[in-house]
Amino acid sequence: MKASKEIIFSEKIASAVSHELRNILAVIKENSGLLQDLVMLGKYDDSSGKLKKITDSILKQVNIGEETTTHLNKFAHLNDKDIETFSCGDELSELLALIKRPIKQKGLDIDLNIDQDIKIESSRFFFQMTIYFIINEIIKLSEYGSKFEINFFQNQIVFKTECVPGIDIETIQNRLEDNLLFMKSTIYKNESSIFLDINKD
Amino acid sequence: MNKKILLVDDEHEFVQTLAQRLKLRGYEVSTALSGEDCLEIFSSNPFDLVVLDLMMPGMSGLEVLAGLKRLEKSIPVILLTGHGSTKEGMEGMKLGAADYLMKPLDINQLTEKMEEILK
Repeated sequence: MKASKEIIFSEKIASAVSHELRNILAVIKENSGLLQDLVMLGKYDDSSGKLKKITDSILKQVNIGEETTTHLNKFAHLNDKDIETFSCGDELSELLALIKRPIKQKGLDIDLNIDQDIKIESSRFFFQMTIYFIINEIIKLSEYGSKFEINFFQNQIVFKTECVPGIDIETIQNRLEDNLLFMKSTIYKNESSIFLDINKD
Repeated sequence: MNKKILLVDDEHEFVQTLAQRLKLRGYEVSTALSGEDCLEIFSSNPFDLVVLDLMMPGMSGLEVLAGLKRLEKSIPVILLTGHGSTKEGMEGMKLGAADYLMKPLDINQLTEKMEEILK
């Protein structure tokens, strides 16, 4: 049985977030283990500041973990309302926070410009899924360490990156056909950018 | 003589803390934060074992594993995976890794495996 794109999208988000959380927990576990090692060795003296450095590191990772679970919780509630008015910039930022692990793996530097934010009435889940499939193609085809820009212009989100010529826009269009229909949006590309036109009506 | 371990992971805090814990257990530990650094360090220093993260920016863990095996076919490599599934670890073992462990790590499990391999 072929999984629907909604399931694939949710799976990919779960995978990215669980990988992120595993790494956070790994750092916390090693730091608390090191504290335990030092206690076992009777090294309580913190004149060198080593113990404070360890506890600071644990706290930092707990905060990152807390932020990550907050983003995941927001993701889990994307479908609470079928249609609502939302900020495309906020939703895009939320998505980027969820997929920061695969972005980091590729060493991608994303320049996000949402000064001209777009507010639409639609499905937040469909919107994030549409953006995810576009960004995922960019992640797959980008060279390690490359840059890409995401710019908002009036009713348009523009993804500018060097790998655009290699992106099969028809496959993305076909895959997202019902999303685009629902959002009354169109997607196309030129030599350097992918354009997502959003109908605000 | 202390066994020489090369620990490779792009998570700076993880690699530094694990290195300290292994040093407290009597190992001589060097660290690398990328696959490229790992191969550079490995090519000019002798090691008894490499502990290698599978998912790193740039060269993947499997690419690094292949590079290590080209430099020294017999070097034992323990892979670390943050994916929570055994798939990547098994794939690595097919390519010559001695074993794999999942993150977050259990230090006792890691040192037991290391000792077993280094016997």
